[in-house]
Amino acid sequence: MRLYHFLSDVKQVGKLTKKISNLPDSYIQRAMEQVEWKTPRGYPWYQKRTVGRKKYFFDADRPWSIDFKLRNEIGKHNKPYVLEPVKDWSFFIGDRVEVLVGKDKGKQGFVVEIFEERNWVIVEGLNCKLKKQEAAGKTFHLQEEQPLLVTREISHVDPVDLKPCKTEWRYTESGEKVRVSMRSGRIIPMPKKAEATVDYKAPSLYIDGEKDTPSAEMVKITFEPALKTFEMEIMEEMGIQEDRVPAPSYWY
Amino acid sequence: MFRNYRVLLRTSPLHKRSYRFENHSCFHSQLLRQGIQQSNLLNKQCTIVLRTLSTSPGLLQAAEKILEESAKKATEPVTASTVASPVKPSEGTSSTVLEATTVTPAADSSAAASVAQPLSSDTLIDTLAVAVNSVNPTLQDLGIGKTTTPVGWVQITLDWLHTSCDLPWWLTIVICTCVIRTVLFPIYVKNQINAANMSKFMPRTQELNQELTLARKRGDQLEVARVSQELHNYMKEHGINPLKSMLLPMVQAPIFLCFFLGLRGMANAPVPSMREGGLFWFTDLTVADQYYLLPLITSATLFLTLELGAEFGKMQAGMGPWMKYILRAVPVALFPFTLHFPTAVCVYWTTTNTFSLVQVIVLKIPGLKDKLGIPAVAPAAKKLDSKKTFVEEVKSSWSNMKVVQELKERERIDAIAFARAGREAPVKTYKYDPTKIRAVRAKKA
Repeated sequence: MRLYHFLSDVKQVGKLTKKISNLPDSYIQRAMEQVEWKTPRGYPWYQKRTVGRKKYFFDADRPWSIDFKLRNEIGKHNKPYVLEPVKDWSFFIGDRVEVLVGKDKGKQGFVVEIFEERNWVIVEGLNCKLKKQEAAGKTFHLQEEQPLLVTREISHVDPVDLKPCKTEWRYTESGEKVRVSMRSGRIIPMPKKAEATVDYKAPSLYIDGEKDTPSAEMVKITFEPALKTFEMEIMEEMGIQEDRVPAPSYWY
Repeated sequence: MFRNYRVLLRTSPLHKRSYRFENHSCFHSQLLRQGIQQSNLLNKQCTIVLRTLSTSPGLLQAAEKILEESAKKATEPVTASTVASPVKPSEGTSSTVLEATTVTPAADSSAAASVAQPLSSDTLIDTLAVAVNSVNPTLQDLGIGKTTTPVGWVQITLDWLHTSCDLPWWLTIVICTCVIRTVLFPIYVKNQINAANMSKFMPRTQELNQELTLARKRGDQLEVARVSQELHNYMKEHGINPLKSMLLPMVQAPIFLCFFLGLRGMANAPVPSMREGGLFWFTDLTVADQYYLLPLITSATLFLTLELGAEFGKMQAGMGPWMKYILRAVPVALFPFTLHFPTAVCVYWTTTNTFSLVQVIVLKIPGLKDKLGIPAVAPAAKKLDSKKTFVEEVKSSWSNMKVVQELKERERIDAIAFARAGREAPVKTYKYDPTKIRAVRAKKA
């Protein structure tokens, strides 16, 4: 084991990916894991051992998707990539950004998708590539946006002069964490679109589904404290009278 | 009761040939003139009798004028007399009888008479025409019955039916309504066929609609597009068209409006003959029903029609339970408005509602629907969220409306915030969180 091995495991599924998908961690973990062999769990005579893929290859496929599974099959080798660690992620869906490289250099657009595992974002309608597709005997050419690296290839836009700017995370007087343009000192507002997940556009706009408990029902306190044990309560409910006399016990 | 005036042209004392011009709202002077000329040619005595049930100063003046004229030209063989006497004392209505007689001496040479008589009878008729029209003005005289508007056409048609068929006003309205509703019956049948078809495919349509609503509430534009496309395809495949079910209301509504406005206009003008054109307790069609019975019948028949499920019953499955309550509330809400409508309007409304009710009842006869080609209505689809009560339903639809509104606003809220951030004064920011207490270290000496 190399000393810097821990670095390779640093980038697992990104927080934003999880947040946007609104999926529980356990599900994501279960869906993406590639296990060859595993010792049975829950038995003390077995040691915890798992043989399988430890390092995953991430790209535009979501970790719980079938494409991701196929790409990360056991024994499959993927071309390694180098990832620059990003300490504080500062690009979110709905942000206005300027493209710094490629044929769309200097153009501004809005972030529509984020792949945190690869430091990628997709900017709406920019950095496109023509893609040939064939369906039903016909050939289509699709314009497909290519990912851009947040570290080098895009930049935030200063709200004052609409020019690219560097940003840093700072605090307002009320303790709110905000992104501030390092040139003009203006706060770059967090887009409302960033709070959207696949299930809702905003937490307040969430529509209760059939199996959801209404929030009013949720906060209702139904527990009534009583000086009874669980068994006593059940017995009372069932109408069971306790008439047994405990056998005398002696302590010496 | 409804006869306001009667003109008799007696060509002989024995009434062998008489031309009757009864109850025309417009005095047909041309016809009368022709009759007189005919009688002149036959060299017979001619008597014009005008009888009205109402005393009218206009008519009396006209009679006096004629008397004066006949006094001046004594040589003219015209005699006119006015009698003001009650026709039937029991009715308590006085009448004016104007009798003008043109006498042609049979033995004399007809040359002199033929010169004098047309002139004199013309004068007489013109005067009479003016007099009668003052009592029984035409619609145009009252400022209604315009030939350029549909409302006017309705008024003219009603007036024509009333005068030419010698029908009382209430019967005129009833007959006219029934005729129009009968003409509309095929459309009604078509509507029923469409409603039955729709109910057949209602469960799937409802499901898709529910999906569409949910997608819209979530703000998922892609899903909205997908589901609406699916819904469109499904409806096209099975020949469902919501516009088809709107055909009947779209035809009926303008007709109803025309009748309503036309009759209200006639009652407000008012057309004098309408004053006595009613029945039973509503003899005067120009005023509101004093016992509120007609408005009550109107509302009751409307309620029954809606309950028995005429136009809307088939649609209830797709409309949600609150629609049922609204439909039930319609007759109740209408009642206060109908209270002050003229009786003529109420008569129309009652008739058309009763007709609808009869239609519904008749179509319930087993076997008749098959003959008309109306398929059996599928049992109403179960509501997808039937657990909710009425209040909950209203509350949830209100909150859903708010959500949709907020979603719309969110589309541009980001751009507004960004522009404002650049425009407004910069906000002070800190490298550290100022709300949290920091450890303060003393300087080392």
